[in-house]
Amino acid sequence: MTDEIKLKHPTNETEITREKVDQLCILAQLELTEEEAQKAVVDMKKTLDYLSQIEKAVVETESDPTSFFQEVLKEDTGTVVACNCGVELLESNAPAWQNGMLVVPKTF
Amino acid sequence: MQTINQSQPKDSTSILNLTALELAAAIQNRRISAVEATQECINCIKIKNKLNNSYISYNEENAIKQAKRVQSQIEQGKITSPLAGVPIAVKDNLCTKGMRTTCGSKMLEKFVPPYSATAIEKAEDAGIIILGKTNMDEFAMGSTTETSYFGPTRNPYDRNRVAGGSSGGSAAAVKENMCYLSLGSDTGGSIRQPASHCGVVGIKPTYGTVSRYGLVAYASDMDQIGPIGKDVADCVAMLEVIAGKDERDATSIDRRNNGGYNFKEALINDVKGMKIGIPSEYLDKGIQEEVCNAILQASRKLEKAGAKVEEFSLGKMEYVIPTYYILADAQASSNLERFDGVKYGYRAEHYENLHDLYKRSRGQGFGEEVKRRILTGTFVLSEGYYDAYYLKALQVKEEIRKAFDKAFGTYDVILGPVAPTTAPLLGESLANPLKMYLEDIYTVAANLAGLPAMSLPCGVDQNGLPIGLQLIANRFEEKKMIRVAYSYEQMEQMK
Repeated sequence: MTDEIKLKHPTNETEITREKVDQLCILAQLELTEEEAQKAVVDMKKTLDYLSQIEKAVVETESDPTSFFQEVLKEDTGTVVACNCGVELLESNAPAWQNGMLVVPKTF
Repeated sequence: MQTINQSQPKDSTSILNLTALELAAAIQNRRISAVEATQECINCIKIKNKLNNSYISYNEENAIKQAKRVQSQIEQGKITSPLAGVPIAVKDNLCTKGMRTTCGSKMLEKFVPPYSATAIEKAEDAGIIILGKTNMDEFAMGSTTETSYFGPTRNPYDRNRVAGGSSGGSAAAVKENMCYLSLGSDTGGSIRQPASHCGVVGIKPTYGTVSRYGLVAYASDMDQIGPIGKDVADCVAMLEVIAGKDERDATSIDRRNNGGYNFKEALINDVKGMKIGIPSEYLDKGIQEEVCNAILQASRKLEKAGAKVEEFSLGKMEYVIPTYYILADAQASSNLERFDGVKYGYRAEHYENLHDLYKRSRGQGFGEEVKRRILTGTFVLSEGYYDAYYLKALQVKEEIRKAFDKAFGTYDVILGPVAPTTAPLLGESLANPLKMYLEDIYTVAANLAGLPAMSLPCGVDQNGLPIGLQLIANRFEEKKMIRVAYSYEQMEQMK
């Protein structure tokens, strides 16, 4: 493919290709136009080339990865956040609403 | 070049030229009414918004109604807040009950929140009047306000230039007297950089000082709400209104034993004995010469006033941009998953099944920069890349925090530029996204380390474009930063 661009990955050789962008779009639930997808290949290569500099950063101690998350893993204090908003406002924001329910396409 | 002087009211005695605190005092003394001030702002918005696109929406009827209610409460002595009766603008990523909140995106073009952000509730409780919602980069992703679905905000000093971003509308609205104060949000410099480009003051408080409840999330561990105002005292007054522990935001902090909430006690014109450090990396290559000179000149003035100023090496600066964009994009890809065209927001007209509905709604509802960041965020979180990018970035973030901790062992405040250049021309930054990211070099570190930081004007370049001075303090030590800022501002006003 002509739109394949080699990307040096910090740890293992990989490449940003149109196929890889398509896979990311599936993960991110995004539909891109053909033009957007082609541009994404180029943009992602440039961006990831730059971001991969982080490989060179020396970290003094190999921190325990879970330590970063301790702050957010707090005990539930039982605080109840209630929204006293009316159904009318929820309904007015819903793209499709019927009989008090959100309308989505059938999945089964 | 179209300058602000040509577009501002010719009458220098106009009440629009008052600061927020001056206006509030005049309202308390019954010399001006809140209704009169609000009407003046609305009139100004009607004229200037066509020129600078600062506001995405404003509601005259609602603002006047609020002003009448507040005026009545002031007259009855029910509200005595220092900012009672002051009309302000709010960045359009803060939820306002019953008032459209778009985040500068087609995705939320018609979204009307059923509740208000805590910061908005606090402002309203203090008798502050919400005029409308200001323009911003889509979901706060950008540094120019050009990624807004509603078009760019133009710089008050030169309408061919950007106002900065992402809170560009909030900064320009203050400078153009379309409000007395505004609220912005700062994830990587989004308050400080537009404040710098528009010649106003902006404060990003310590992470956790202001509740994020009702702020549409971009990167949750760095997002922070803060004020933009005409001077330091106005910003400090606004910060006191919106700061506080909130049970609805688990990351908000009770500061009663962490520096307190009385920020105005730091409005002291005295820097004698204060130690100010300038990271040598901040004045290295890539900075516009006039910006560098203005920063050094400001530092010399502070030194002359009695501060001890010296250069030092902060370290890790080469990694702040990669670290920030890896972490911010990763969080953005997760935070923006909620916009799927089901509960609220844009829904594609044609789709085949549920997944198709998601993909098409998001593909059509998000703009180019948002999609770029979602894809990058998805990549760095995906299997095989998570450790090399995301986890490594978390480790480097910790190293950056340690570098600041070390610096604050010696210095009270760190001083430097806000941005490497003055406001770029419209279109210049969008053409090269990576170049746009690099312009955040001086601001993102404060967000990564959760530090308070602020921007205030310190000069102009040869085109008359404002240059911003950035001050950074240690966590919970806003008062040191405010004291230096206030002292510098007083020196400049004495000229």
